[in-house]
Amino acid sequence: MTIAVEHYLLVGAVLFVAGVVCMAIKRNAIGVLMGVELVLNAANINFVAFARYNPLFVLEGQVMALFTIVLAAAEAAIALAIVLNFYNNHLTVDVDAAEDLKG
Amino acid sequence: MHDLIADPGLLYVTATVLPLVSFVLLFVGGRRWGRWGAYLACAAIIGSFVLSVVGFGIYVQTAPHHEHSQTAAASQGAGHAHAGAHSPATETTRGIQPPWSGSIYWAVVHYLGESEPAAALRLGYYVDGLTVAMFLMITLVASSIHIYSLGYMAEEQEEWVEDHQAHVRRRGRFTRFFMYLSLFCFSMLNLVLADNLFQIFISWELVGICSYLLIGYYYERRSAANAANKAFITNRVGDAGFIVGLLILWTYVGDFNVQHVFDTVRSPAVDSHGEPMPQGRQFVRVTAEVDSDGHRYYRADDQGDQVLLFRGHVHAPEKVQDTWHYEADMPTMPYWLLVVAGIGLFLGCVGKSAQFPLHVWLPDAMEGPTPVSALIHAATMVAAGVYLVGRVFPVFVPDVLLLIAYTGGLTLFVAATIAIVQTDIKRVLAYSTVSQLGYMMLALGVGGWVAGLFHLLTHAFFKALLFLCSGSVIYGCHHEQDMLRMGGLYARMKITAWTMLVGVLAIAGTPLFSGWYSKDAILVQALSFVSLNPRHFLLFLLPLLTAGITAFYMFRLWLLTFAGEPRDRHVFEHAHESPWVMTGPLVLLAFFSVVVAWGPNPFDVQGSWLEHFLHQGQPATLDHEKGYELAVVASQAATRERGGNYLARDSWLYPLFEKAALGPHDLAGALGLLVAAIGTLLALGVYYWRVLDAEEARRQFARVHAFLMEKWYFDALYSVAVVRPAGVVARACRWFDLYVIDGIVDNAARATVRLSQWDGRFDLGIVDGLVNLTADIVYAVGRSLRAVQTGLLRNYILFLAVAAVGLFALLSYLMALAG
Amino acid sequence: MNIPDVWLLTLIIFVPSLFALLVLLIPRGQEEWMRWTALFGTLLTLVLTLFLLIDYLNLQDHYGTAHRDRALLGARADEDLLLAATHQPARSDDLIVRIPWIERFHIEYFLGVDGISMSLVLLTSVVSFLAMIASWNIERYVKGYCVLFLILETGMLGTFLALDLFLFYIFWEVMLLPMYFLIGIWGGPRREYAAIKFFLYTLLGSVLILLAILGFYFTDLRPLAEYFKTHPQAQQEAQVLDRLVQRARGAAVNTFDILLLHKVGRESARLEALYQEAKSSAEKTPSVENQKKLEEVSALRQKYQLFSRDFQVIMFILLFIGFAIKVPVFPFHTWLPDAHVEAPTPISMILAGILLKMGGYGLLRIAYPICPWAAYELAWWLGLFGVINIVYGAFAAMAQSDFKKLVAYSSISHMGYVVLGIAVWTGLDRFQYWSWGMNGAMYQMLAHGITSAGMFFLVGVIYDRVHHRDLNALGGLNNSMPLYSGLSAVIFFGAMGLPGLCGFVGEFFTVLGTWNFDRVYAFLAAMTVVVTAGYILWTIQRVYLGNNPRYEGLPEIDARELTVAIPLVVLTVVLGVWPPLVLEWMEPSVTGLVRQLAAAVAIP
Repeated sequence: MTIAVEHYLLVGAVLFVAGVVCMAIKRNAIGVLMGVELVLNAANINFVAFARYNPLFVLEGQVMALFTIVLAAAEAAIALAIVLNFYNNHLTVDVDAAEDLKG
Repeated sequence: MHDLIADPGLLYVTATVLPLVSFVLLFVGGRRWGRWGAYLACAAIIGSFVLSVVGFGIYVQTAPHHEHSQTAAASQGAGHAHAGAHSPATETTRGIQPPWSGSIYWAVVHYLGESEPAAALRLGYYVDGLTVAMFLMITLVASSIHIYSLGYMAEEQEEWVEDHQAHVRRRGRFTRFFMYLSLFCFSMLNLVLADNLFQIFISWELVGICSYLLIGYYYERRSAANAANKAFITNRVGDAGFIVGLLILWTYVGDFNVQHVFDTVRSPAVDSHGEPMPQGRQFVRVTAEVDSDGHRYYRADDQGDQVLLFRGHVHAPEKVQDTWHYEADMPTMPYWLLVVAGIGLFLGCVGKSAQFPLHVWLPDAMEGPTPVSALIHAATMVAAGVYLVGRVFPVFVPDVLLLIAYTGGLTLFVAATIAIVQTDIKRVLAYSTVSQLGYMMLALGVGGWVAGLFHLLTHAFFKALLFLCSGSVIYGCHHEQDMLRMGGLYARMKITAWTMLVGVLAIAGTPLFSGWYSKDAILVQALSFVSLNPRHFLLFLLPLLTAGITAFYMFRLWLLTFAGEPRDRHVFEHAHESPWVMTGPLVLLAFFSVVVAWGPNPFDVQGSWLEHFLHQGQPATLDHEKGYELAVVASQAATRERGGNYLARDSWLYPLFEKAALGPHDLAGALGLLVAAIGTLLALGVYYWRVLDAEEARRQFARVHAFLMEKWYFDALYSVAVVRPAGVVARACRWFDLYVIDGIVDNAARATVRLSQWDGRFDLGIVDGLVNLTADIVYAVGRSLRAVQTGLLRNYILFLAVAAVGLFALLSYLMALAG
Repeated sequence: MNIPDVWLLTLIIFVPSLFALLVLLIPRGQEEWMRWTALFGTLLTLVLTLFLLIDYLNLQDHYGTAHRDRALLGARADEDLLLAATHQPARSDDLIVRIPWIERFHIEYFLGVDGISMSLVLLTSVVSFLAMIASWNIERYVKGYCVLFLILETGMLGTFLALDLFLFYIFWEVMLLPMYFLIGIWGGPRREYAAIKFFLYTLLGSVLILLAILGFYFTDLRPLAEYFKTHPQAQQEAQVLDRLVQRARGAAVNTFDILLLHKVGRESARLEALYQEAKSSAEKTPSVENQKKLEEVSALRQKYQLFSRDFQVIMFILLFIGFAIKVPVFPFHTWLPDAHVEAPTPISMILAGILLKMGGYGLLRIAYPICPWAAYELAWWLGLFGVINIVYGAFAAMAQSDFKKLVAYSSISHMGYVVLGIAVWTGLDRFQYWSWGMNGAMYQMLAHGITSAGMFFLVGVIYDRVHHRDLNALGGLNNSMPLYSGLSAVIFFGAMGLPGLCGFVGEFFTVLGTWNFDRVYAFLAAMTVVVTAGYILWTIQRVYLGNNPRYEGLPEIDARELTVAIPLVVLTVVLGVWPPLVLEWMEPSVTGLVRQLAAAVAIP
């Protein structure tokens, strides 16, 4: 059995779903951030896998993966800052407490 | 001065302009002139008089003998100045020989070229015998009245004047009176001087406005202001007719010049080649006909519906089977329009000369100062209508002449009957004036051109005299005009009484007084007309009867005023004779009232110099009237030629003549004298000898008396038939404007407003509603979707995930479908 | 005067506006200065107008009687165009100014003077000057008043001088708005109602005129150029039109040029006349020859008649209603009494003295020459309108008790003579009668301009003293104000048509012309003199005669008021006594126009 692109995609999908579920069910903001990281990395796996298997995307796939990593880092920094701020205001990191945008 | 002698017409122009100069100076100078303004006006009119006398002298010397003047006038008629065909005969009449004429352009349609018909209006002068006589009369009478006014109006020189009738204190207006008089004299002289109808019309209106201003001289009195309005407006009714007459002549003649008008509507005596015309000097009525060759021509026909116009080149007609055939290319005008033109011009005269049915203004006009009544409403202006009828006499066709005669006949009778019952001294004279003007009209209407104008001239003197005497009485009695409060004044004012008696005798037709000659001439004329046309016997009967009535009411006037016992002590005691400045003119006019009509032998009623003088100036056409039912024997000269034997044998009057072995002249004169004597005796019997009781007569004929007192109900009739309807129409027009037109406009505006309200509602309800509905729907959708927006992060992520899965599923399904 | 005509005409129109600017610069509180400035502006305009009159007289003398056509604008304008065709400068002394303005739409700054406009320009500047003197007692918003007044004058003068329809329309509207404000702000108690009524009425008229103007503009003139080429005697016209065609470079030739449109109208009328004649003769004697002729003429008409009969009739009716509102003609007249009653005295003077004349001028300058055939066909109806105006106005005047309203209705009656005089189109062989009518109409416009301005002023003088205008409550003024009453009498008699005063001349000429057009009309017009005398004399009686102790101490007319009244009185007398003073130079243009139009519809 050879490892084909489908397998990578499967891993990516599992990881994605895990991330999404994490985001959906975690009430802790940090947990949600972790879910976000999972989703991003699932995407990264896909990029890299396509770079490996599709000759048209060799360079682009890798570059995109690098972009995503940088993006994730930046996102994490900003998100943590928001969380800290949120904590300062509400003394909690429970995302359900943040309902000011309720319509 | 040399020019004036070289062209004596200019002498008359100067005489006309002098009063105008005086008017302008007084108008500009106003009150500052003081009594010198009055002297200026007097000087101007006396200057005009002097010039008129000089002009008369030149005229008498240079005028050709009667027969000559006729031929000269005849050949002048053949040459039509406006057609450019001057015959040699016309040339000879130029220069110093009368008639003198000349003119300037007043308004021209240059673009057409000046020779076109109807292209220019002119101002000009035309001086013939009639003009000369009228100038003398007007300037003489006006001069004496100017001088008289210096006395009569003297109290106006005061700074403040008390008007007892209107109960006001007002400023004196001495100069203004003379200013108006000057304007009047100018207008009146201009009227007589004019050579064309347009200029006559201008003067006509100007004398009218002067009359208006002078009747309304005491304008504080309501009655005076009303009388002034009535006079002018009644005159305007006549003037409207005058305008219509002018328009018709203008259309068919293309010119207003009186001589051109005559030359055009009547056949010349000779044609352009010197051939005599068969119907020379007559109207030529024709019928258009076509002969068997298709040749068109006009057949002379007394009942024809067209009248030939003689313009430019004229050929004598051909004689075919007893009738005359004129060329078909000659211009014509419908006969009925010529009749209308005549009636129109006459209507103007009816208004101005206060003839029935427009006579109602003249008695009211007595509201003016008495000198005005004498000058304007007795001697000159009211005679202008008679003058105009005389001046344009050749334009009147026989039908119109008959109308004129009947109008005069009716007027003279109606006015005389009213005069019997009047008690205001001036009103009696006013009705007498109306009546005498009726005499003149009647005379003209029956073809007595000379008789009518003769009476105009004599009447001017004695009626002016009578008015001035009445003014002297009024002045002496401190503005008392009611004869019932006078009586016995002879003791107080002898000069006035004597001079007035002269006037009364003159108007009654007493032998040797001027009225005798002229009234006799009229009666003769009327009788000779009636003897030829017995159907119109009223035209002799009325003036004859009225001669008696005239004598009656005039003696009644004199006797009530001067004779008997004073009926009002107060008036009598304060009465006094007038100053010399007033009695002087009385004597002068009395003198002329006697002698003006004298001839070499004063006892010869036909031998008047004045009549003879007028006779020389009568229109040449008069001697050529024939062929009509209404043909009249025009002049006494003609009468004499026929030896007084012209009475038709089948006339119902014939036996009378035969039995009396009288000529008609003697018969008319004798009858006239007889009737006048009866009238005089009656008056003496009632008011002097008291053999008859006036009160008793009044009771006996209460109905008649009331009828006469109400002036035959003319004023009431006009009030009901004219004045009130005019007011109703006027109010209807105002109502129409206010409620109909403005109603439409305002309602249109209101409708627009209402429409815009509807439009606003539509905007609010429908257009805005649609917009709002859209918004509402969007809002509702938003509201329903609001629940989704929980604000909970985890919910959002769930939605995201579900959406992604759903999308994915959909995509896969679609791709599967696409294969 | 050696002022080039372009400057002279331009200055005459715009000097009032320049002074309006000057007035704007004067600070508040200096009301006296504003009045004097405005007065000086109107005076300068008057002086310039007199220069223009001298120039126009010189122009006529220069050409002499041999070239009477020079009295017509068309001949002079053509001459200028031909000079331009050979690249020569246009003459600077022929009183024609033509400068391209908006070339995209063929709009030109095109001005010119002939006898018709000359007389009305003169009237305008005289009445404006006098009205400005009469404005001295306006106390409210003096600055605004003076500015609007001067702009109004520009509008009026421009309307009379413009020869380009677009320019004409602009000036026409420029005149409208100041009038609205002058009535609406400085008027009497019901001023808003009157101002709005005036505005709406005249605006309706303007819209109709605008429609007609556009109708003319959108007619392509190229066929006319062809048509002129086929006529050997119309070489000059052909050349002129050729130039236009060349300039258009193949595009349609449209124009706002009034004089060119006159030509179009005349030629169209000529073709219509030919066609009608051929048709009637073919119907009368249906020979082959006549039938052929009819077809020929019909084809010619099809090809070259730019303004067809129906088009002319529609356009004429539009124009007529537009101008009739200004005249005003029954039943479009009810704005006039209200506007007059409410307007302040000087504005009433302008309104009656000048504004009403624009209607008559419009008929003479635009409606008649451009749509001659329609005017010819509808002449009887126009005359009817005129007669109704005369009779109706006179009767309505008689029923008024407000002095100003009475004068307003007398204006309606008198303007009826203008319409009647213009309408009485008699045939070519008798066109001197129409000429009398037309000259009468023009003279009546001048006379009415003077007498009505005078009457309104005189009413204003009383109103300033007694503060009401109720005729039934006045009376006896002759005693307290003799000088004033004397002057009034002259003006009122002038309006009544007394010979020797100006009102008579126009009325008499008109009636002279009318008789040959329709006897009934002439008869009615002649009979109305009775009613006119009735209401005027009755008014004089109610106001001046009699005795009324209430008004005993009234102050006599003062020096300023005399400066207004005396010139009007003098003009009333002078124009009445010696009409040649005006007729000499006015009549050639009027009669020339009459002859052109009469010749256009006559069968050659």
